[in-house]
Amino acid sequence: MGEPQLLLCYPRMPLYEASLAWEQLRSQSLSEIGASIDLTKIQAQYYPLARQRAAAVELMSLRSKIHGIAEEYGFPSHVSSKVLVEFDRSVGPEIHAQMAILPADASSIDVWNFINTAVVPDVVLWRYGRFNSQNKKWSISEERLFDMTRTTIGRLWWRVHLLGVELAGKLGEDEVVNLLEKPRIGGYPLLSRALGNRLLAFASESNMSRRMVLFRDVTKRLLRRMAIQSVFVMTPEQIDEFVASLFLESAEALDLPGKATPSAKRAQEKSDQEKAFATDWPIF
Amino acid sequence: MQAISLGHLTLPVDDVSTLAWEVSAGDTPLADGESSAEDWTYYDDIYVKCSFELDLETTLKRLRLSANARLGAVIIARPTGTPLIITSDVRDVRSGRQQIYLTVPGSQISGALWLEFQISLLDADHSDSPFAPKRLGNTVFRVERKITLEGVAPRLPMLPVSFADHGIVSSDSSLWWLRLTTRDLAASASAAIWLWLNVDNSSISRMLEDADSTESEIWLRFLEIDFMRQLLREALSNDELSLQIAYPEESLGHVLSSVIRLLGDSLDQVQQRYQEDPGRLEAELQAKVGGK
Repeated sequence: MGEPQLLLCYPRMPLYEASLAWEQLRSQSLSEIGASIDLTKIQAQYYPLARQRAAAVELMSLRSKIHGIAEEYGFPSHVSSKVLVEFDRSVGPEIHAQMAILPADASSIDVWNFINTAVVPDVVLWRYGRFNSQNKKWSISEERLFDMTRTTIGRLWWRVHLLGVELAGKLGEDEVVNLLEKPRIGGYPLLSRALGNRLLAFASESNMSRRMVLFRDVTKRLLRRMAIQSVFVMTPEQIDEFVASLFLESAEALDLPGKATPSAKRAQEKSDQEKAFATDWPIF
Repeated sequence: MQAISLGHLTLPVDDVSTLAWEVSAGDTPLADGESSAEDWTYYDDIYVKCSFELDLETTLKRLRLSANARLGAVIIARPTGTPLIITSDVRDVRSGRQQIYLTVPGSQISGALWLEFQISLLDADHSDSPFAPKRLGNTVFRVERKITLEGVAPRLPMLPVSFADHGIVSSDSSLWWLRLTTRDLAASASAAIWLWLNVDNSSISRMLEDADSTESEIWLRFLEIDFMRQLLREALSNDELSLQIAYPEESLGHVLSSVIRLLGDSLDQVQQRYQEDPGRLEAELQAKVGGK
């Protein structure tokens, strides 16, 4: 991560303004939208105390990058959802590297409203829109436009920022959402990365298909345990063992096939040993 | 902190004597108890120092831990604006006066900053006492401090939407739609709760165009009450909601449990009253939220 002084703040578009813009965008073709984009004159607000602003050159370069990757994956043609997921995996690391945006600025949904609406609206519609030939209008879920955890471009930036390039590329969409929409888990990289890596290892070792069911159960167990056990004093190895024991507990409870790794076995044995000494008190 | 609230013994605040925070936003120190960093910008790091004093031997005895048990102290920073958690190094707790430091990069945070100082068990302990903390990470002491960095007024995602586009027949009579994108209580409330306003409805359109008119004010008042009523209904129908769980401030669980708390101290009691006379309970809710 670079020095904050070198990182940029991006233009912002308030929700209401973006919503009105999308009302118009929905009735245009992808080529019409593409032709109407003009990033040379930006009339938008920035973080008021921004020291470095993303100017036209950065915005055009960003559009070019995202558009170029989209073309590699078939834009503007209709492609399978599998290809679209591959597009996500490819574009996430690229925009994270290119945007050089201050994370604080990236926490503003208004920034992503601007990117979705003014920079790459055609790619956003290609990725998540569905054209209704009867009323000649695009439909697209509002979450993909305006929701911080699901916004088309912003969520890809955040998942790389929080999970790292490799893990962000391997986890499924639902798994990432399940992880990152829980601020107490997703925001602590040692924990979220341990969870993601353990899920991948567990699923590959046991060749398990119901990994999302398992993952939801694990995160529920984790949140309950976090009420009485602080992960913030644990070493990375302890977090990994803690997480491994949760996966084993969940797999057992859900009657899912799970092949225990040596470290997971150790964690489970340790946990069993602790239980033998501990009195389980209800949480009040 | 209550003595056995977590299922194990904890330390009362008095036992960690002379606990003191020193916080500065960039070069500007915050006075003791000051909760607002008015001049903070993304370029100002937050420097935190927490100093405290305790007698380790007495502490371990009080917690009924074995004599060789290890406790660790850590500062945890949770900004409300970014989904990041930043922690200090963990320091082994010893006897006497000690300090722990954390620098929170300004570029990584926004909104408000929750700072938590925590003392927890660093290894599993095999004390014979059933009341002693035993598991790695069992927290025996915790205090929080909140620093407001910038405007954090909760922003309900109100979105102008054409309900016709969402397949609602005769949509121009429809007003608003409370959408919950998830029922996961740990999920961020701002991501989970959406209030869609129907632009096909003429009254709503007028309200959006001129929010300051008398008509708009009446609509907004009505909308607020109805919004809370629907949240109450959601809270009462959520099987996993519990007032005993301390949900994170920014979570759906926190919002729903706050609605219940407006009407009573116990979820069972509020549920029972709702079953007996929902209209009365809703009228009580109106009295709580509608009088502004």
